[in-house]
Amino acid sequence: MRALLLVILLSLVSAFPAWGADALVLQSTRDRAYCDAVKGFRASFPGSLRVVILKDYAEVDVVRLVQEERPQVVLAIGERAFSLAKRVRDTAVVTVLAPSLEHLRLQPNLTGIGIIAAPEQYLRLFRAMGKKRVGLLYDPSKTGPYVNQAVRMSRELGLTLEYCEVHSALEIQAALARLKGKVELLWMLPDSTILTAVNMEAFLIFSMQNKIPLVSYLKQHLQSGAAASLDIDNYDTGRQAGELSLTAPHPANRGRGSIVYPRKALLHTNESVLRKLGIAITAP
Amino acid sequence: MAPRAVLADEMEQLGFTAPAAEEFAASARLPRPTSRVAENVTVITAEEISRINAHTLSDVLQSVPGIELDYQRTPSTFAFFNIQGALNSTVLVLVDGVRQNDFDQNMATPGQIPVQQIERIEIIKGAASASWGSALGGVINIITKSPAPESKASGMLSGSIGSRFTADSRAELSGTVDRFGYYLNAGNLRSDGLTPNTAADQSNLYGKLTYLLPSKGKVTLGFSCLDSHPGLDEADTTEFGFVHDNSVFRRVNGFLKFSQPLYPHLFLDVDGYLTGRNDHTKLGGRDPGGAIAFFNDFKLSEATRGSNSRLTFDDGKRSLVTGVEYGHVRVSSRDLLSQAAPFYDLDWDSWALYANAAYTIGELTILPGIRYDSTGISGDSTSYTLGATYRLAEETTLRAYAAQGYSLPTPRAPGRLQKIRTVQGGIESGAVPYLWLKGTYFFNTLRHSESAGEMTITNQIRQGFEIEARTAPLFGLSLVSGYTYLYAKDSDTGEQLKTNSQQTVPPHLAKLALKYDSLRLGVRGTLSGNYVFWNGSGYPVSDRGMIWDLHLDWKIRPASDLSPQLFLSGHNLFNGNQTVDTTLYNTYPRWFEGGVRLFF
Repeated sequence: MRALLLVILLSLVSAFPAWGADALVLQSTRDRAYCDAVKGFRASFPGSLRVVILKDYAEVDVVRLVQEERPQVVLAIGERAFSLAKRVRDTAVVTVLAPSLEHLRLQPNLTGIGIIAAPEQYLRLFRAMGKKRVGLLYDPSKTGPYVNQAVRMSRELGLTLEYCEVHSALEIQAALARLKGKVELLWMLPDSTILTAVNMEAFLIFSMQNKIPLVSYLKQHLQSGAAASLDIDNYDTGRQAGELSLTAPHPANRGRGSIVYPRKALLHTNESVLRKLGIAITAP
Repeated sequence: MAPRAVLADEMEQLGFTAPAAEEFAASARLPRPTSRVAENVTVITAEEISRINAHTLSDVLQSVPGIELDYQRTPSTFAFFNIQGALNSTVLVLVDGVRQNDFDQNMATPGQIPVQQIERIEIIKGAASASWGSALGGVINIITKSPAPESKASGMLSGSIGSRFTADSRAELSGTVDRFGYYLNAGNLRSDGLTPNTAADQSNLYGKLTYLLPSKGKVTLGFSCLDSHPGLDEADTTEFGFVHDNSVFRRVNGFLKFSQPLYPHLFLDVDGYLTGRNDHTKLGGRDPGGAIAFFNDFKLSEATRGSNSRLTFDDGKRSLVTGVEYGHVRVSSRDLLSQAAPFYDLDWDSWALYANAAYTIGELTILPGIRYDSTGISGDSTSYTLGATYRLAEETTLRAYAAQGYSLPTPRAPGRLQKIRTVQGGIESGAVPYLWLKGTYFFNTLRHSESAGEMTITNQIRQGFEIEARTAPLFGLSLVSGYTYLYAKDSDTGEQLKTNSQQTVPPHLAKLALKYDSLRLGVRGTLSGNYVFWNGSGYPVSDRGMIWDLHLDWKIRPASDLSPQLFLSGHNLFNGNQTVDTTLYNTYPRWFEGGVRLFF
C-alpha cells in the first residue's frame, strides 16, 4: 500500500511546469490534408507549436485553452476548429481549410485563407482553354462573395459568366437545364449546397451530353470525367498561414477580419477528355 | 443552445478530406483525449438529449449502457437508478460542480434535473473518490450551456403535449455582448400522471452570466431554482389506503466561479457555491368519517455553502490539478405533524485536499490521483487511484485503473464510511471498418455495510463486463448497442445477490438503438429498446418484455439553422413492464407526445 502511494506521489510531482507555445494549432482531425497544412505552418512559423487534435476530445474549451497557453496566434484547421476558434476574441486567429470562411463576416481578430483558388486563376485557365462563356451554379449563402468577385473580374478579362443561384440541391437539375446551349464550359465550385454525390453525377452528365469541359477544384474529379482542376496545395496553404500569422491583425483592431486566397494552385488535367473535346490549353 | 447544423463534415462532403471514422468521446476532471482517460466514461451531448426528446435526466440515464432505472413513470417523478449494480445513493451527481445529492439519503433524484440547459453529461462508471470525494459508485457530471458566442441574442421556444396532458414548455435566451455573456432557461413540465399518484408539476429557472476580465480571466455567476410537485414516491398505494397531497420539493442553487490564467499552462480556479433544499412529503389516508387526514408532513431542510480552489497545470503532455475543498452543511429532518424531536438536526464542516495528474510518455499515459477528505461527519478518508492508458494504434486504446472510493453515511444512520475497491480494464477501438467497439471488465469489492442509511447493504463483490458497439451510418442508418453483465455476490456468504428492496443488481442489461439521420431531409429518428433481467425471484419484480421508444423529429427547412423543428415521441410502444416492485411502481403504459421547437 505504501509503495503504491509513493508511486502516486512521485507521479504527481513529476508533472512539473513547462513554457507555453507561440502558436496554438487547433486541428479538426488527423486527416492528411490537415497534417500537410500543419507541416507547412511549421516550415514558415518561427515559434513553437502546441497541436491539439480536436477529434480526440468530446469537448474543448478553446477560450480557456488560449488563456492557459497564451499563444501569439491560434491556427484553426478545418471547420470544427474554425467553429471553436470563433469564440476567441483577444488573440489573433488564422483559419485554413474551413469552407464557411468563404461566406462569414469575420470578427476583427480573425483572418484566414480560403479553400478555393483565386477567381483570377480560374478565369485565366478558362481563357487558356479558349472558352469565354462559363456556366456556374452557386448558393449565395455559401459561395456568394467569391462568385461576386469572379463576376467582376470576368468582365475585366473579357469572359462572360452565366451564373445561376440555387438554394437547395433539389434545384440543380433545373438550373443546369437553364445553362444548356448558353455556355462553353462548366465551372464547379466547392459549394456544399450544390455538391452531393448525386449532383456530382448531374454535372458530369451535363458536361458529356453538351460536350463541354467541366472544371473542378479537386483532382479526384478528373477520374470521373472532369477536364481539369485547380487544386489548392495544403502544404503551401499552411506555409502561407505561417507567414500570415506574423502579420495577423491585432485583436484590438476595429473593422472586420478578412480572408486571402491560397497563393498556390495546382493545375491537373484529364488529357483524354481534353483531346475528345478538342481543347488545348495554351499558356494562361 | 439548440443543435445548430455545424457542418463538421463539410470538408468531407466537398472531397477535401477523407471520410472520418466515428468520433470518440472522452472525459475526466480535466478534459482529456480518449487515449488519456483510464476510467469507463460515457459522454452524452445536448444533441443526443434533444434527439430522444428527453424531459429530465431520468430519460437520458435510461439510454446509457450499464445504467438502469428502477422503473419509469411520469416525467419528473421519482426514479432511482443504478450503475453496474451501484445504488444511486453512492453515485455523485454534480451540476456545474455543485452537488445534487441530498444528505438525508445521499440520493440525487434524476427526475428533478431538467435537461434543456445541459450542454453535456460525463458519466464515470466506477469509483472516482480520488477526484471527487464521496463517489463510490461513480459520477454524473453535468455541464450546462455557455452563452452563445456569436450572437447578441438568440434562443429557442419549445412546447410539447401528450397523453394525460403531459406538457413540457421551455424557453431559452442566450448571447454575448462584448465581454458579457448570458444564458437563461425557463421551463415547466406537468402531467395528470401516467401512472397512479404521479400527477406532477415542475417549474425551473436556470441562468448563467459570464464576464471576461481584462486580465484574461473569467467570472461566471450561475443560479437555478426548481419548484416541483413530483407526486408520491411509493405511488401504487391504493390498496394500502394511502393518499398523497402536495409533496413539494424546492431547490435553490447558486455559484460564483473565478478563473484566471497565471502563467502559460498554469490556471487558477476559485469556485464558491450556496445551495438550499426544502422538501415536504405528506402522507395521509381516510379518517373514520371518510375525509382525508394527514398523518405525516415530513420536512427536510438542507443548506450548504462551500468553495473549491484549484491550480491546474496542463501542457498537453503533462497535467496536474491540485486543489482544496471546503464545505459547510446544515441539515434537519422532522415530522411537522408530530410533537416528537426532529429525526436529526445537524451541521458540520468538511474539507479535502486533492491532486490528480496525467503524464504522457509516447503512447503511454499514467494517471495517478490522491485525495484526503475530512468528512466532518464520519472521520477521515484517503482515496487514491492509479490508471494507465496505452494507445495501441491510431484508433485503438487499452485502459486500466485501480481505485479506492468511499460513500458518506447518512444522518439517519451515522456510522463508518462505506468503502469500495475497484479494478477496471478495457479496450476501445475504431480499427474495424464501420464499427466502433468498447469493452470493459470491472471488479468491485464493497465493505462496511452498516453505513448505507436505511438500506442494509451486505459486503459485496460485484464484477462483470460491459460491451458497447456503434456502426458507421449507412444510408443514414446506424446502430448503437450496449450489453452489461453483472455478477454480484455477498462476500460473507458467497451467495449471488438478487434484486430486492435493498439493492438492484440486474445480471443482464441491454440497450439498443437504431438511428436515422438525413441532413438533406432534415429528419432524425431513434428507435430504442431496453432489456433488463432483474434476477429478483421471490420479490415482485417485473422484467416483462423490452421497452421500446420511438423518437422522430423533422426540420421543416433543413438548410436553415433557424428552421422550426417538429418532433414526436412514442413511449413503451408494446406496453412492457420493467420495475423492481410491481406492488408500488409500474412502468407507464404506451403514451405519445408531440411538439415544436422554434429558434431565433
